Amino acid sequence: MIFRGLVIQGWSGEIRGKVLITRSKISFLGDIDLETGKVIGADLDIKGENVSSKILIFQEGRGSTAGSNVIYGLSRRKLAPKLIATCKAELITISGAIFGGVPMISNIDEKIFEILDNGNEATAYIKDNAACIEEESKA
Amino acid sequence: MFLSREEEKILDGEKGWILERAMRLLTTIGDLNNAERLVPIKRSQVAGVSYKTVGDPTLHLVEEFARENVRVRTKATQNPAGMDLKRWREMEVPDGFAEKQLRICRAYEKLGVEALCTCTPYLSGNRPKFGETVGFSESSAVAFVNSVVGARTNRHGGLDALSAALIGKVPLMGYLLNENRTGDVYVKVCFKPMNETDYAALGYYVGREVKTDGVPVYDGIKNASLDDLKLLGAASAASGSVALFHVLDLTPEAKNISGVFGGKKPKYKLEVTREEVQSVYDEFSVRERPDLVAIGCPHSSVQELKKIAELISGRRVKRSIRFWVFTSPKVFEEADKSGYISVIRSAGGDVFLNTCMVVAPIEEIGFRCVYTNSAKAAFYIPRMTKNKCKSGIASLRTCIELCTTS
Repeated sequence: MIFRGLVIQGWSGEIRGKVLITRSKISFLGDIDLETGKVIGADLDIKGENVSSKILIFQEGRGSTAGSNVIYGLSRRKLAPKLIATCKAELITISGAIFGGVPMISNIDEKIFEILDNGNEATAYIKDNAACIEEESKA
Repeated sequence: MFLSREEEKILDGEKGWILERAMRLLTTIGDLNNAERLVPIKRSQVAGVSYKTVGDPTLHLVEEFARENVRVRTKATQNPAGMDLKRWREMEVPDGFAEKQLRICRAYEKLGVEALCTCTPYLSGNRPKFGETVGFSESSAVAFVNSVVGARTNRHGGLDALSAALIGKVPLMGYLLNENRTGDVYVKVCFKPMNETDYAALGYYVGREVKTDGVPVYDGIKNASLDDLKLLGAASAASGSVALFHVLDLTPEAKNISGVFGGKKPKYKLEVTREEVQSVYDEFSVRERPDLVAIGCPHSSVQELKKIAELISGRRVKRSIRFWVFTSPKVFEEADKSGYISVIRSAGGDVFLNTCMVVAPIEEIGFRCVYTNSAKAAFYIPRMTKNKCKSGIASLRTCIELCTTS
């Protein structure tokens, strides 16, 4: 299945990686450790996982507005997700991704939470100005 | 988006790479949100200041900006730092941390962002007027100025708030537009809040329940004080992302029920009883005894400092516990004149500026359990200390009884 979305911070070529997915809202400040990329937020179902080098898919941002600085910082420390994909983009996540040069797409259909699971492999690419995330076939 | 000739020039890099980058961010945000154009702002609040929250990457970014000849074009103020900028030694903040923190604040100052270092700029010299468009970050300040003051801001991140301050403009979108300021969630408050922490717990519960961009309209809390609303708004901006709320018959854009919903029906309804509020208290209940009792998230107002002074007067802070209150410079000055600060200090407590229990390195100072009257702080403390420090909530009165003897 292919999910289409809006390109927020573009990239070239294909991004392949392991999926880290949650229906929860994420505050990059507090929920994610800036020094390691580990998920700290106690009420998140992905607590204990690490966002680094993952295709991170979540509903939308919440909480602290310094979250943009955390995304930027993760990127400078080479701990950022390979791709951030959200159902709804808010300013905090957008500005962190753009300043940090972290590939980001938004307006992904919520159906993605039914299709993809943590640890699945996925591929993301840009085609005709739209971003696409595709589940890697398990063949 | 429609850009003026001058804005185009900035985007083309004619005014240097920093403004180009700032303009690129603002126009990207504007395009994504179908903004028609940029509109001027006169005030900004810039988050991303505490060294604990943003670390070396933001320190280096802001220093890099400060080396170039750019300045903000608005009255811009910094969010809380990781320490009292003058009395950090009394807080036992490590030297290495302090050095980096001072560098961050100096770099922002060089860009023209004042080192006020408060999350309540609206109480300390950067207060927008009703209807004024501003570019604020700091989720609690966004909620307060939108909802209680009736100013207009989107929920900016630290980096886009800085960009907007440098350009002096924001994209015309979101909560700046009348049609997005009407309520869509009807919240029936079916219990009687007894103190400020009940309001915080209410906000915390609602923040988690309200869906994307939801504007809750509270019905049934007519007697809330400004401090109650400050704690409520801060909590629902932490557990969720509420940037604007209304309280019927109390906040300036909620004169009557049909007006506040823009003549439409609410999208959905929430009922909050004592049971829901109790679930928030249960979430933040801890067995440990606190080694720090901290008030001032968001930063205390003069009224709150007065109440603290009244409650603590004649009591003494226990040796095993610290009692710290956090506030902003102008509020401190006023409370000091009224004698509240000396009452708190002579009881064995302390009052610090520029920082709070969420963004100061409390786990490095050695604290392991904090009690507070703020649901926002209780939410962030374990997260910001990598679970080294636990947090519990209780009303101001209970907090003071907990850490003092008569």
